Amino acid sequence: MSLLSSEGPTIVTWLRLLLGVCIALLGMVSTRPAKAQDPDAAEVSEALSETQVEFFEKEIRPLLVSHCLECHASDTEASGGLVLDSREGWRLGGDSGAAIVPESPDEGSLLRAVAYEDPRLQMPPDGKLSDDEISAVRRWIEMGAPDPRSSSVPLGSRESTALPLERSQEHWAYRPIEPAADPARIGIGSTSRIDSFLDSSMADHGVSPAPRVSRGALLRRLMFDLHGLAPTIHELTEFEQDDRPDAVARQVDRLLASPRFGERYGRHWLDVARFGESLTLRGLVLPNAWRYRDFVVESFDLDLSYDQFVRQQIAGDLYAADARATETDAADSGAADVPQGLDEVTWRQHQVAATAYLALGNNNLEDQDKQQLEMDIIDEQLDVIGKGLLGQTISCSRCHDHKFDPIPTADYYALAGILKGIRTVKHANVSDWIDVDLPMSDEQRSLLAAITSEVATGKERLKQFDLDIAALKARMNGELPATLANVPLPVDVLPGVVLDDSQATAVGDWTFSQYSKRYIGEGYRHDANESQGMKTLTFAPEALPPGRYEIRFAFNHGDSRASAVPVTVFSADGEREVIVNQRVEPPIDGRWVSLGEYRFEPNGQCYLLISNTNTNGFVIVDAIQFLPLDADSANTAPASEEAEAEAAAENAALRRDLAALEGERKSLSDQIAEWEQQLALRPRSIGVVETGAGADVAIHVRGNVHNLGATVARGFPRFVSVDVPVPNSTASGRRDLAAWLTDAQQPLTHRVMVNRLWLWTMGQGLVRTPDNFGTTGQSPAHPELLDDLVRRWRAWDTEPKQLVRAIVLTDAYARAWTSSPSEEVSDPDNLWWWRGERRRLDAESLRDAMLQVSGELWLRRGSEALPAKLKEDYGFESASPVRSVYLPAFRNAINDLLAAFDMADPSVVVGQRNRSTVAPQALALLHDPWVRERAEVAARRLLTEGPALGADEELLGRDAGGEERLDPRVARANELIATACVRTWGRRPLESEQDALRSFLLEQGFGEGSSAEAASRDLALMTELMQTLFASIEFRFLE
Amino acid sequence: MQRPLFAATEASTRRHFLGQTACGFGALAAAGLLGQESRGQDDWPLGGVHHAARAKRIIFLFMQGGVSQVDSFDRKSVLEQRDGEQVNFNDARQLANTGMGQGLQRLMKGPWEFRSYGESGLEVSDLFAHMGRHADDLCVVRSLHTEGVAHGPATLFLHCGSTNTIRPSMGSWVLYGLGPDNQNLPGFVSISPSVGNGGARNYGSAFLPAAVQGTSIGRPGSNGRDLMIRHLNDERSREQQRRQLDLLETLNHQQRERMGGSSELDAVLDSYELAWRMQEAAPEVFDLADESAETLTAYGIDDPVTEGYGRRCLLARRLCEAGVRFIQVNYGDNSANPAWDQHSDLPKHENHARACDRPIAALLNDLKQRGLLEDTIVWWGSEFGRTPYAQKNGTGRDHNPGGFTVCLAGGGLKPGFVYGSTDEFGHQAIENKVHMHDLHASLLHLLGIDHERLTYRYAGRDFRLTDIHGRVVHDLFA
Repeated sequence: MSLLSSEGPTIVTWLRLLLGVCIALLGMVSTRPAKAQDPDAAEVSEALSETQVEFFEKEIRPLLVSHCLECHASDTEASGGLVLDSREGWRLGGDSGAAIVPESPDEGSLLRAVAYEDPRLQMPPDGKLSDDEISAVRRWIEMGAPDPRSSSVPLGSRESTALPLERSQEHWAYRPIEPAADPARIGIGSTSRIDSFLDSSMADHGVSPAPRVSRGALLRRLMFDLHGLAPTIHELTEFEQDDRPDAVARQVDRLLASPRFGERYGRHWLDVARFGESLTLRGLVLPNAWRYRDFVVESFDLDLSYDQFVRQQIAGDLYAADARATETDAADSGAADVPQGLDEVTWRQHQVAATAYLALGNNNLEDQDKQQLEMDIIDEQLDVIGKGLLGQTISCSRCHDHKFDPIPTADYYALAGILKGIRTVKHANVSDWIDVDLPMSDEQRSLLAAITSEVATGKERLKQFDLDIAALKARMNGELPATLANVPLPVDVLPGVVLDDSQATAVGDWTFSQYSKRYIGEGYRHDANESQGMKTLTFAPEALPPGRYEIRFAFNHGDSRASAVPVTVFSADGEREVIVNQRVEPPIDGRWVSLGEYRFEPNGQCYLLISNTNTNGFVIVDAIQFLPLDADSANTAPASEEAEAEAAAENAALRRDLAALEGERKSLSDQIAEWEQQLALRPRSIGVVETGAGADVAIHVRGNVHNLGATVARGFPRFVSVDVPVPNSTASGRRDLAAWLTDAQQPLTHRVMVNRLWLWTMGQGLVRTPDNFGTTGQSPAHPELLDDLVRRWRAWDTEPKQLVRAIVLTDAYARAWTSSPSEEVSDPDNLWWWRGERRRLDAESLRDAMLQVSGELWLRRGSEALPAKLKEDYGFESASPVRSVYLPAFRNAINDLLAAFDMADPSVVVGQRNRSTVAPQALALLHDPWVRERAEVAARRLLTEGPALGADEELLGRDAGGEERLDPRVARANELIATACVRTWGRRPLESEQDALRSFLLEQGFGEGSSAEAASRDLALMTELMQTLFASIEFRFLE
Repeated sequence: MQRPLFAATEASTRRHFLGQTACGFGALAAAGLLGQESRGQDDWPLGGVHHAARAKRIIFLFMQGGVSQVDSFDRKSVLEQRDGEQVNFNDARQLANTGMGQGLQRLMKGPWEFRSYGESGLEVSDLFAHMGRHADDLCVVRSLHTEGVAHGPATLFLHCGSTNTIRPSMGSWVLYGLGPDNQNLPGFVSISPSVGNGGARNYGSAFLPAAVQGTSIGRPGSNGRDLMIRHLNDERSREQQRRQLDLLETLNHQQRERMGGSSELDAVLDSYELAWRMQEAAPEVFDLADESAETLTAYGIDDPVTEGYGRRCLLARRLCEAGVRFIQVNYGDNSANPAWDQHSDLPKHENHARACDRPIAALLNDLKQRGLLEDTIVWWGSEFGRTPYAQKNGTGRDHNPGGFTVCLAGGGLKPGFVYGSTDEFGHQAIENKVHMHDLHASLLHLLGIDHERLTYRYAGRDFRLTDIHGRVVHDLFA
């Protein structure tokens, strides 16, 4: 195996860069970019001398065969676009230029690659050639690269498997929305316009529809579909009693108006937006990501137009800024677009928070190649925009033209250029995401300014306190401040954590000295001004409490000292080198220089290294001091307390002064901490910022960030033609992208979302591949229905609720799941919607419904605050009874129960969840302590409150007549069971079910006696019963 | 017919169909993979999907953080001779950070002696003296290289073949390809995995069916007494649980009929029975009580230093006997600078070696004595190696993805064999280089899987563990 491309990457960078590659089938090769023409290739062989041919055959051909052709022949993938099995092949060059320039071995990339000199370009990948082989290659190229081999296959003309751009209109999804055409059956009995489409398909295909579900089952279906919650006994009763002809429509309107709808449909969108509140890398918590969730939930709740919803997620920060700008000109012109039901500040905040859509990727911020990281982030954004908004696998075109869809690499980089104009992270060893400030009300703004200035003054005063306290402490140790300058100082009089030079690990010989008296601890050390580059001292404090520190370095200065001593600090922010000049007096007390502020994490790297590399004089090392900057760790450095006590005993007056000073300092620092807490509450959101240097980017050849091809103008995918201006300013172009995404000429965005709304409501999409509307996705069985819905939805200003309403009020929605041998043969996939899709409670519904039955569900609106100071999500468990959508979406600490029931992976776009039935689900329902607790609380509630059906019995499906004559134990058990079943199943038990449940209770003594033991036995039995109901099919599935 | 534990039904129509008709997961994968070319696996004594397998399962001993190759299995006497000398190197981290890697670095010898072991004469440092005694069983690859300079990316690459994008882990691919060997236990178990550096993604199934996801057991750094499947049981008596299950089955049978039945509802019914059987089967496997005192001592379970990893290794053998396909035994922790990550204070390597060397040797010995090494692959290694020079001229070594060592043993691998080499300092692999993708491809090959044909269609394209790369290194095979 072997081979190289010109200018190309090593196999190492290759492998990395090809990660996003979408080469589905080996051997299918995309059309390569145009390369230099070679008009006289055919004539070359005649010109070769015998010696040349012999040299080639003896030295070069065997080498190519054994090291190169496995990957670089015309019948292979042709790595890097380079083929080496014919002279025509290598004359065409690779993706990034010439591999061989005859007679100029140093110009082409082949020799460079085989010489293994460039760490990014080393070929063959499995090991370097021998020196003899390398010099043979050099000689061959010097000879003019004589090559007798001629290609038998035409090169550069290989067939692409993709649908070409100019024929993109052949694929349904890229065609314009079809003009209105009435379905055939309008007016002949179909309930709704949607039904008339489906009814005519069924008639055409000889398929008969399944009957409607019962009313109770329909309400349960509506409740779980629109709210993700079970109907309460009250709701069931009310609906059963409502015999008005529009009873269902009234229920639907009630459900759509409830905030529960936004929580349910918002959750669906969060799957698509790969919403998460932490990164799997190190479990880092994104403290402000919750605002995106609240924006999404509230948008569905307020029925925000989808076009608006999309635009905010792409460029909401820019619109919010526009509004601010216009405010200054004309009073309230910017307020025009505030949706009804929201105040302006909240909406502006939502607009900015919406851009978290671009920033929530689960990226590996630790990647050390930051250029690579930036392109990986853009790729992730394009994947989310592509699949999520357009149903297109755009990110497949990162390394080569799309294998199947009309998306050339150039179109990928045209979009990438837009995203390159925004910044999503700040670089460091582990790069940091960006929390942007959100707009505030005037009141908030001035309050904030006031506190900020208080904090600044306060901190100045703190510094003065510290100086005063240090002076006082020194005096208490028997030293007078005036004489402190040139005497040894013991370590324990100094604040913070101080490491004496004696505590450092030495590499090389360091000489101990006490010659200069201005030292700390036992003495100091120097490198004797010898063996430069060979000596280091490493300081590693043991168990330093995590937090922020200022680090100081003590030495005594002098003219014989080195003027540039490299000191490297290894902290949570990576490594930072500081150069210290030891010829000038250290500014702090004549002893210390500050090395700056650093942050240390639990178990993270925490050490400092002083070296004599390239130094020009003595390197002196006396001590290192870690001064805590956080209020918390400040209190954990009481190293000097004992010394203080002793000293204070000798001088009570000094001690009183000190106590007073420290008391004042403490109250000031507490006050500052409180102010800072308030400042921390300043509204922020994870988001993006414009770089202000928007520019076009170059094609990254084969996705390689270190191998750039032609620059591509920013723009939009050309598979559809839309009349939207292409960005060309120093702004990123996100406004234009937002306009393009929501332009009526561009059919994908609306088709994709209408299909999603259909899927979320009906349990299955019209297009069965909701994230892939490309040529490898499935085509809709009802393209005309899909387009009809798009047109109607546009007339409703793309507000989701109207469309959902139209869907649930169809006959199709209300159909039962039935088994029908003939229909299962003629339409096994239910393309004509002859029956209802079998629905089951998804992870969130299952959890929420259990909390409902136990009476614990907390219907608070909006996200709960995350625990203060939570930095890592490891092992986090929430006991909060809020709806599942509001549980922290931690990617490393996914709720056990939700994970078992196919919750969406929060790292990728999930348009449709898995639907698995596996044993761990059974284990969770039967043994997870959380489930058992819910069953117990539900049981206690039932036993305490008693049966809740009372006089409504006949309404819920069963005649209770005759039970009066029963044994009271039996009667009570029956009543309790009925309530339990209605709560969990939304219906009364059948006789056989009731018998089984009652026997279970009574045979184990339920209801016998009234002692405390009897009560706890009854509770235990009822708990078992409730849990059994949670595990039953009727609870887990919808009829 | 016994139904498999993880009966899966999935969204895709084709797989849904397979799932129904082929009675669940094991058959599903085999049917999906073999397609028309299906040939009787009876022809192949150890099974196999695309060709006869040489091994049935893998035990992966993951040394998290990066063991230093030049201080363990890749002796470079030049480091002893030229200790302290400044030499020009291409540093991987500098290269990634700045695009320029060249710079002077101080060669640093390690504090450990090397000795030759066995007939093969393999040189092993005193860090791994116990493993050294198994030199003649080991197939040592000294020329590994990989992607990612930092732990996060490199750890994901090791497990999933990708530094960043979301991909299924190797264990999931193996289980997807081979199906479970024991229907009553999970087929892929990761013992005490770290939650850091990719966490659950390192044993996740990504877009593969949920049934092939790794089951994690126990927490990293524990004493190994916490190794049990989550929610396998609770405090109730077996009898109480059976009574509840009987009630549940009565209801579920009725409700299945009432709802018109379907394979999905059948699968629900099955899942409860399967969970019940797993409750019976698993404790037997997980409980070490029936192991002899000699065995416990051999694994170091009597010594607090080795107890944690000893228990994990012993459990690995038991899972291996019970038919688990992929067992990962993690030696690591949850921190950002995990276990073997000695940027400063290289001698700390010794603490970690002391904790795991003896248990690993005991595992090799135990597998061999029981004949399990014949059809089990043991794979020992890290996400990358370490530099032969001191990091920043200090007392430790930085990460080195360019050349490091993994030790393999067992099913189909050449025993007492060394393959490939690094440069004179032990920095970059130069001879017979083996990329991490190649290692993945080779291990799959031994399991009877062609890495180019183990694919899964997702988002319109066929994915595989090795992406578009990987080369089977036949030279490693016996």
